[in-house]
Amino acid sequence: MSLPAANSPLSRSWKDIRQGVNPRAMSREGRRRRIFAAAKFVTLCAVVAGAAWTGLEVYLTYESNPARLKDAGPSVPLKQVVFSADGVLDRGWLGQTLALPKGASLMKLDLAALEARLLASGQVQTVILRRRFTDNTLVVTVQERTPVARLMVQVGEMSPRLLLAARDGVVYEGTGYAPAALDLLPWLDGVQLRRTQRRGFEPIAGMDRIAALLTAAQGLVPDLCAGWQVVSLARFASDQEIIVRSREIPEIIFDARVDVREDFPRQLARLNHIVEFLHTRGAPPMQRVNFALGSQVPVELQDTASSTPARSVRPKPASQPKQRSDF
Amino acid sequence: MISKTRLIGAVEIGTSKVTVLVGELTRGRTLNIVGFGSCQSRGVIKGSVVDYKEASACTHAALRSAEEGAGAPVDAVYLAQTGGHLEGFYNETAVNVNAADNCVSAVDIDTACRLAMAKELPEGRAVVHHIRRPFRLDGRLVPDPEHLVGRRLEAGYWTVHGSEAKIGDHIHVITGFNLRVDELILSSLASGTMVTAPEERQNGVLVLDIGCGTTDFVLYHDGVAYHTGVVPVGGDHFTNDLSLGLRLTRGQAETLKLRYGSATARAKDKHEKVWLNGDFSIGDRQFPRQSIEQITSSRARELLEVVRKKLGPAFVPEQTPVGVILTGGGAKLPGIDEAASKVFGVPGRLGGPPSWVSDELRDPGFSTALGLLYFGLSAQAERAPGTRRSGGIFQSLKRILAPS
Repeated sequence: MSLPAANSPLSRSWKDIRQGVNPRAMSREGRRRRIFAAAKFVTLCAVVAGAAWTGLEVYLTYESNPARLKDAGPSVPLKQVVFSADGVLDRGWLGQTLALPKGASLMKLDLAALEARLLASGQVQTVILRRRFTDNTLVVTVQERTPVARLMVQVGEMSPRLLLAARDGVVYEGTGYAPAALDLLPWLDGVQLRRTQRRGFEPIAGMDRIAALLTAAQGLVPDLCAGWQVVSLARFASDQEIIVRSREIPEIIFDARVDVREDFPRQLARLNHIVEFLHTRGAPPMQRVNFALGSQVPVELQDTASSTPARSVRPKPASQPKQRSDF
Repeated sequence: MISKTRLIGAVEIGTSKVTVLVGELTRGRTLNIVGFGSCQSRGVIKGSVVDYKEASACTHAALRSAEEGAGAPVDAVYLAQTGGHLEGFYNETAVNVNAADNCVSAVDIDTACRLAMAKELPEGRAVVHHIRRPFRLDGRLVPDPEHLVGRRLEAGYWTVHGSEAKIGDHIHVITGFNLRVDELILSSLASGTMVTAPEERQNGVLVLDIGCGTTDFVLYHDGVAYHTGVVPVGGDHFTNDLSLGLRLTRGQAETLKLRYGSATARAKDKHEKVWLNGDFSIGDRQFPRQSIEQITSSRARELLEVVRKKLGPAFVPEQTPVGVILTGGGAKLPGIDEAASKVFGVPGRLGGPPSWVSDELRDPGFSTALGLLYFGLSAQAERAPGTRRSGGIFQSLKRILAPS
């Protein structure tokens, strides 16, 4: 019969030799490693203990008063508002628009509501609101619309109002613009504004093409462009034409079809050529020129005998359609 | 387990140099050598630490250099053990198979193994290795007797033990660097595993690792180490003899040994002389080449004969068909394979590392350090399937929190 294995004592092995060593017998590197290992151990213990304590606290709080877990911690009041805009809007406008209560808490600010308040002004194209907790600051960054044309609007019996139209067709009341700068903008004519449910106006179709035309004109024929007083979209919907009225030429018709929109520089170059040609020939001033007939450009000259000098024109205020005059 | 990659250091604290290799062990299977450090040894004589501070300083320098090469701290160390204090004995035991149907069970095997290992050692001795020889079931050799039928199961262990104090000194040099020794491996087993193939160990081969202060040997048969031993004579003694015989300093003798030493007397012309330095400097002189070769060859033959004598009846030339494989720094002595062949009566050759070892580490002097990684991992892999995981999550937590 075999002897029970448990009764057989095993000899002392090298593994029974204690591997610990007196710190004084360690090299400097060994001591450094030992301290590092001890620090690692202590840190791990602290992390484990901290996690356990946090877990216990959360559990106890949940057991006693679960609602406390949902409460946000106290927030410090808003210290300052940093504002930056790429246009003419200033801090005064911002303060008026935001109307923040005194001592408002940074955490409790409803950024969505503030954003909506800022975007209510058509002059604001985009807005970014950001909480900066390091110095309790609300950072507001605004990108503004640039006006392309101005228009007078009369709603009901109210006195006419000056509005501005941007490249994307949005119509808004300009704030902070210098009157001299606005005087340089042409009047917009031939549009019928429609109110939206949010007390604004629906965007005007074709403004992007007017913007493209004006940009090209300011670059290529600045002298001619300076005399442009009215830009009309009266025939835009039907014939895709933009009509410009200037001091020198009462009616310039531009072809604004989508497929020839890129053609504005060519049309402007032709206009310039015609003006110069007539000037050198001593011809009477033009009454009408039409670029919307393809390669043919009919030019109608003024009858010098009966003509009257061109005068400054100002369009009638754009009115609301009768059926929409309920505001 | 936090990381699937461990950095294992293989440390050989030799008489002439300390070698450290760092192996990156991935998922316990793949090993890449990522760091290497070497330093001239101090405070070590014949494989034993005699000056703790000096030995620590050079070992730690090598460890630091290897860690810098690896770019990360080592997690644990496999340490080579050599020295004249190491001895071995064979102990065998036999048990009757317990079951009525004579089918060998795991309990029978465990009992036989425990009894074979249970031999008491003298005071102050500690076991380094228990190397099991193949089981015998009713006299026939079986690698695994479980579920086989037989009446008598024999198990035998070659037990290697050494002075607890000297082993402790070795270990404390490593723990002084705040590292843990995971495996203590006999130098001869490490280098033997490295320079022999499993087939050679199965057929029978003798491996001699000639170091600076000691010569370690291991005799393989039936795929296992049958006999191991350490002779406290190494390449350093060749130098010493040259120094005494030719009245030279140790440095000069070492130079002559490396340049002109040979394990077999080859010079036929006794008037052929060689210069000590060969640069015509003051003090440079000539020595008969035959004298140098006579001294080194005599010492080599003597060393090999001591090994042969220590092996005693365990070495049977007929059972060692592969022959003698020589490795270690001393194996670079020209003609040592020839001398070994003459002394042991079997073919002799120099052992080299496998082809996957980089050129930088192909020197025979690195075979022990390489073998440490190889043997240590093989031993752990062999143990792993049989060992049951104990402690579960608490043991894992203990391992994570344990200071490295």
